[in-house]
Amino acid sequence: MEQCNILCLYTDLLDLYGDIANIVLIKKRLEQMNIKVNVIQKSIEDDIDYKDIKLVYIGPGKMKNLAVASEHFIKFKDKTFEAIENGINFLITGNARLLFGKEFTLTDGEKFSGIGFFDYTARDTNGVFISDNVSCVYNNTDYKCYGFINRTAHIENMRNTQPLFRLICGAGDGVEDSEYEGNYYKNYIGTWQLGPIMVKNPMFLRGFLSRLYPNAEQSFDDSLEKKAIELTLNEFPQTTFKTIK
Amino acid sequence: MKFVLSLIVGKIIYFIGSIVGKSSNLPGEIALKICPDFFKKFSVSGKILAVTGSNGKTSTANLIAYILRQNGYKVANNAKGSNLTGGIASTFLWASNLNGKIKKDFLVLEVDERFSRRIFKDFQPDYLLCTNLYRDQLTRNGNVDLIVNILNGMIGKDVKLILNGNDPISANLAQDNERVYFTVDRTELSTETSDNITNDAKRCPKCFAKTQYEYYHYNHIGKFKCTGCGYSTPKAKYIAENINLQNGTFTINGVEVKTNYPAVFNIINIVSAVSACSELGLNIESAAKTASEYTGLKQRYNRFKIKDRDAVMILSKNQNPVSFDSSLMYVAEQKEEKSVIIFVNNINHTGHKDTTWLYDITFSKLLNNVNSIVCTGPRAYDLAVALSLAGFAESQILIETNLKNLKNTVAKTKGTLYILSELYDEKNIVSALKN
Repeated sequence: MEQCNILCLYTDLLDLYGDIANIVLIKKRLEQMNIKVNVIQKSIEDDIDYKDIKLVYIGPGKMKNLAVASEHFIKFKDKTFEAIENGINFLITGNARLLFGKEFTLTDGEKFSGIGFFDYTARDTNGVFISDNVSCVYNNTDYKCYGFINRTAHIENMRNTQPLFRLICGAGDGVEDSEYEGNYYKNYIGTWQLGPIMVKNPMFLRGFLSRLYPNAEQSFDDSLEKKAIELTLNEFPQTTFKTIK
Repeated sequence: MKFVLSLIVGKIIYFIGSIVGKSSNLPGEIALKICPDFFKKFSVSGKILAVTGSNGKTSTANLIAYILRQNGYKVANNAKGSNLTGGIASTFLWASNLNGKIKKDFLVLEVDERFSRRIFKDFQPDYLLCTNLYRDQLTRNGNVDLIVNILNGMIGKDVKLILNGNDPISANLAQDNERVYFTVDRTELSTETSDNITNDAKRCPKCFAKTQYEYYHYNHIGKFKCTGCGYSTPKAKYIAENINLQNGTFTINGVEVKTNYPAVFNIINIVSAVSACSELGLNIESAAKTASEYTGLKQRYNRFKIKDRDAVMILSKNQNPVSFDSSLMYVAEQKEEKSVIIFVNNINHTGHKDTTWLYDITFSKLLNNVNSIVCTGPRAYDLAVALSLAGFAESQILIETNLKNLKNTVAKTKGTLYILSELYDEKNIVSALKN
């Protein structure tokens, strides 16, 4: 039986808002696909080693905790660049995305460095920003996704990377209105959208699992999840993609 | 002049509002519009106790007011849980005469933690009781660090703090202020490992090293010690021990207390209330005796009949996984045959469709413990997905989005009905089940 090693980073620091359910469901589905799953948890006392890792997950956390994680994560900058370039899968949700940008600034003005894989920076605020997002995966209009954004920080200077979602309604990565949300590069995907996104969006999860294991049969029953997302999407009247003039 | 006008207009609106049942917020809001520095103008002869925290502040503040009144003190409080600026202003209006004098022994103010900085801009409490702090309504509160910052910014240097020594987060508030702690000893339900998904203190709030617990009461509430800086459960002035959850008895500093709602989180609320009353000058024996006579906790917990069937309503806050965990912990402990109804709405006030918080709730506590769970409300299917992920069989999960049909769906279940709902939805659910 094939084994999938999932590396979950900083779950004791970055554990804010139910997003670990993404991993609980991915593990369940992979096991239903006859793939053995090994979830490895590492944090700031540990070495990060991407050898034999199929998927890396980091979720959202409190900003001070994110700052502590960033001081550890930057020690593994070179290894992480190599892992992304080599096609290891990264699922990065919420403000964990800031670890992969150039730097982020807390409300007291203190700055923390990301590993700089992407060009963006970010700034925390004292406010809480929330948004319902309905979107399609970029260049794929087969199905719609729903996600919820709840953040205190905004990403700035997003460039030189592909958007992950094309918005029908909802917010993008920064404070300005946008037609897009999230970003991807090779097998790295980053999004502000929670939900948790893989649980809330069964078709998106199927696509994600196909990228992990293209030849594995997805014979599980996700009709309950499909009914739930159908009802949610029915509550949004918008049918066309957002356009920003 | 503006102040006098605000008092007259506010009191008239308060009087009219109390007849039509809308006196909690509006009079204060209007008074504040007429006189923006309204709070500065009062002359308060007694002491002000503020009660805040993520959970339990309404129950605790009402219990404190009850204990003080029963012991002969004159008390004003915002009993209806109107804990925002308008509600606090209405309480001042009601308590004062037309000269702006409040001749009460104590003002007991339940205060929303996020609004505390705004409320206490123009006056300060003499005492602040913080029940606990954890993730709560993240769509408005952001995260618990934002709330800690707000509270630390609002607490003046002369405010005496009454803090939960079993909570590493709130016990760490305003470190330079004078303080006393209350703690609750190990109970038969205490665990050595955290059984909950939500644990906001896996890391020390002071130094970010790992925390260790001798025992957990629930979530991150328990006897803790940081493996880095040594920050630990502080020495408490008020200690609850000898806790018997079967008959609802325990002692506070050796004095016996009894409750008809022997849930651990409720016992902690009672200990915090007795501690506060003792700090305000009441002897602990009188406070404990009066607390034992209190029946007002039915506001959050109510056992009643639906025709011949037993039902228990446990109000649980949406977007507050610890509130739901505490309710589930109580349901799991009940040995009778039972089914559960859970109502999940969209986000209060904004209507957002978020259900992320459901995945912070440890529904698995009820596995092998209930006959079935009925999911209802606008987000019933999302709840069903969360239950499925928690390990419930599809045959145990019944879904009914339409309250009109809830009665028929519930008829398929067995045992006592435990209903977990937000305060706002309580009446609709009971009505749907009874009619």
